[in-house]
Amino acid sequence: MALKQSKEFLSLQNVSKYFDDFCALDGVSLEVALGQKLVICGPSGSGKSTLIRCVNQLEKHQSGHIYINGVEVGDGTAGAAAIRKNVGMVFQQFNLFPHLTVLENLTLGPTRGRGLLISEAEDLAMHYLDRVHIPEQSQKYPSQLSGGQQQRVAIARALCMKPKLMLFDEPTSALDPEMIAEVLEVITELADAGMTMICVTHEMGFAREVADIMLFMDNGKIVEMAPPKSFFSRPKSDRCRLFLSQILRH
Amino acid sequence: MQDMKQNILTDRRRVLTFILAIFVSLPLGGCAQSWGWYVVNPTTPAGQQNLKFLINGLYSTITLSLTAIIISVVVGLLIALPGLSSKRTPHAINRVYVEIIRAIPILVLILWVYYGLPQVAGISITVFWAGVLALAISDSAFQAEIFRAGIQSISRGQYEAAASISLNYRDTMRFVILPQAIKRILPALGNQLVYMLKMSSLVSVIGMQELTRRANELVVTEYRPLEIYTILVLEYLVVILIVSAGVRRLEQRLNAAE
Repeated sequence: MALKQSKEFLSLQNVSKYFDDFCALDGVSLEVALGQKLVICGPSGSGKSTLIRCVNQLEKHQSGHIYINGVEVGDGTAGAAAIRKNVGMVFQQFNLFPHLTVLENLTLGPTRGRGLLISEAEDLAMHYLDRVHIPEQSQKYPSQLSGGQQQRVAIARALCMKPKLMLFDEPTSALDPEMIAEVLEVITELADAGMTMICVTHEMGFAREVADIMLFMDNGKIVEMAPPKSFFSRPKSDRCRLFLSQILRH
Repeated sequence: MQDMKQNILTDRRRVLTFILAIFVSLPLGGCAQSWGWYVVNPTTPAGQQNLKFLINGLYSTITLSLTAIIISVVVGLLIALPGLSSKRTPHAINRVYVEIIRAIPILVLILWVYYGLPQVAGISITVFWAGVLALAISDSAFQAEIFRAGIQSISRGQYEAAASISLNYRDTMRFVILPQAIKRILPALGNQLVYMLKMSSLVSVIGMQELTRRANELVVTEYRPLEIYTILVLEYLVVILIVSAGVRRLEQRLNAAE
């Protein structure tokens, strides 16, 4: 097998991941250039989340190669450093630190992981809180915020690490309907500002607006990969057509 | 909220009144003739001296218990951490330590540390440090289990979030996991502190001049076990009620911030 490093910012080559006998990712290959926006959709259990969790190694892949900025990630410390330097993540359940204020949530990474002074980190934190439109909440605890506000704090927390690639794992699935818009708006602004991102979501209106490439996954495989225009108007596979017809019906 | 507070207050008052009633009614009861409160009568010089002698054991009991609990919390945490590992060796170290230490009665451990350890290790050890060591080791096995449960109750998402902002294992534990875990196990830690205060009475067997030892010594000279041990019970009761109240206040303060 001729596996070579790619010039693209993120490159997955034939990546597989098993949970015991269950094959969550089945030989996935994918390239993402800087500035590109990928939106992944698919039925639950199709491997969408596993895919982006493998990118920042919250899950370890068992075979294949993942390169970030030309550095292979896996067991080595160089790969771990490449992830730390380049990749930010936003979770479905926000995963804010409940015992810390919003500001402390945001400064913890820069001060401990990056060695910034507390004053520098606070300036940085306020800058990004401003960008997610909630600078006035900096002294509150996460439990005092709405779900949409919490997720925006989580986005700001990831941005404070100045990542080049942002991973979104169903960022609006745990939100009440009226709060989805405010979070999607923030992500859209981020995309417009040129952030590279991979987003797992079922918000198809958002996907159509933001995505450069749409990805449809099923059974651990990429079934369909196309620009949003042709993805939504002329899906090639039956599986993808069925999926889209079901989620777009409502 | 206000109502509940009021209720708790009146409940507490009721409990205290009940306890007091028992202790007041004892000497006034049918067996009043057989009591000899003069041994601890604060209005006579002899009684004063005896009371002073008894209460002076308080300092030892408290320093002994506090030193032991601090050591046992630290050791307990250090033992708990390898227990959380998915690797076999660290996990085994945790299990072996916990199972063995938990199986030794505290009194036996106190005797062994005081009389046995100096011979084995070729060192001399004071009564105080023998007591601290035995209590701390014994308690650390329980602390380790408490910490393990507390840390395991923190969701995986917290670790993942910490990893996603580049925190290493130490910082993840120190800034993210432990502050949350300790808050959750605070009631259990409070229990252990109370338990420690009570178990410290066992150190009297190796001659530590704490509350119980002093009561024993006074009983030998005064032949008034009933009165003197009643005072001893009250001494422990007062100390432990104060400690319990302190722990509860700490819990409330931590819960308020969040």
